[in-house]
Amino acid sequence: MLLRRRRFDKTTPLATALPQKLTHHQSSFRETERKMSEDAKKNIAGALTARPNSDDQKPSPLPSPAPAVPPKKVIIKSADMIPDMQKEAVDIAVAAFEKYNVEKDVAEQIKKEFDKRHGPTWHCIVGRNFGSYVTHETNHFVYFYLDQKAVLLFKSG
Amino acid sequence: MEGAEEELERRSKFLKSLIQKKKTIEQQEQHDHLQHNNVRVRACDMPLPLQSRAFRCARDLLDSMPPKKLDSKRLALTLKKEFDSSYGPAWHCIVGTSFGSYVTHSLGGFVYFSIDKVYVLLFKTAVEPLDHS
Repeated sequence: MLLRRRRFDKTTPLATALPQKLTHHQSSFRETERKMSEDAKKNIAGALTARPNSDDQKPSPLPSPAPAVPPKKVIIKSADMIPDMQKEAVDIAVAAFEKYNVEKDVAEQIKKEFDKRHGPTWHCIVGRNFGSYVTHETNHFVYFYLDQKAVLLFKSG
Repeated sequence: MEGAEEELERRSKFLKSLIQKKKTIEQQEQHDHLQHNNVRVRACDMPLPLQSRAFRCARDLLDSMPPKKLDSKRLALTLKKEFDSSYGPAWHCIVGTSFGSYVTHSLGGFVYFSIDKVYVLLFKTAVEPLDHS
């Protein structure tokens, strides 16, 4: 069946991508409903740092010319995903936030990268304030915070 | 023969005008409905009846919530559940005041609208059955 990709942001003019045909490969699927809330308080325990601390790096004879950018705080709020894939999602998100300022562009980068690496069809939501209720494939869901921004990434369809 | 052709043409024009009139009425009704419920469609690929269903559902729930307190999670849940049960799985709903997104949806299964000061993204994806092998 035909699927259509759509990208938008509440403050940006919208455009519709051309419809394209996607091939559905054989795979098991179980509906798992998961809800996220912007009200969820951050849990510091278990927080991850996206970048290595300077203490872990070898001492350099030359001082760095510019102060290092403070590493982003990463908090995995909820996940049904293997750890390697989780880390991959975080790494891709960190890179996307460095590259783009607009949330929809960050979402696009993450979704497309996962479609490419792990097969379609992924969906990504990025923002400061949103609640959600989605159905995702088993083992293909993650919801995490990067500083103040929440990232929801899941596979369905 | 000429008489028959003229008659056919006359009927054809009449039918076309009827269809156009019906479309105009439907659009006007939709417009009035949106205005009344303070709904603004931002992007859409969805039949009118489903749109109206989403707007009505959102309006009813928002009206039942305490003023100035948005429970986006509950609204997302309500919309998704209603659409899953009425139009088949799988629907996904995002509700909030500040978010961006990039999704792939089924044809005819997508709407992004604002109601009051909250934004709602509702879309459908194809669901594959469990592999029984």
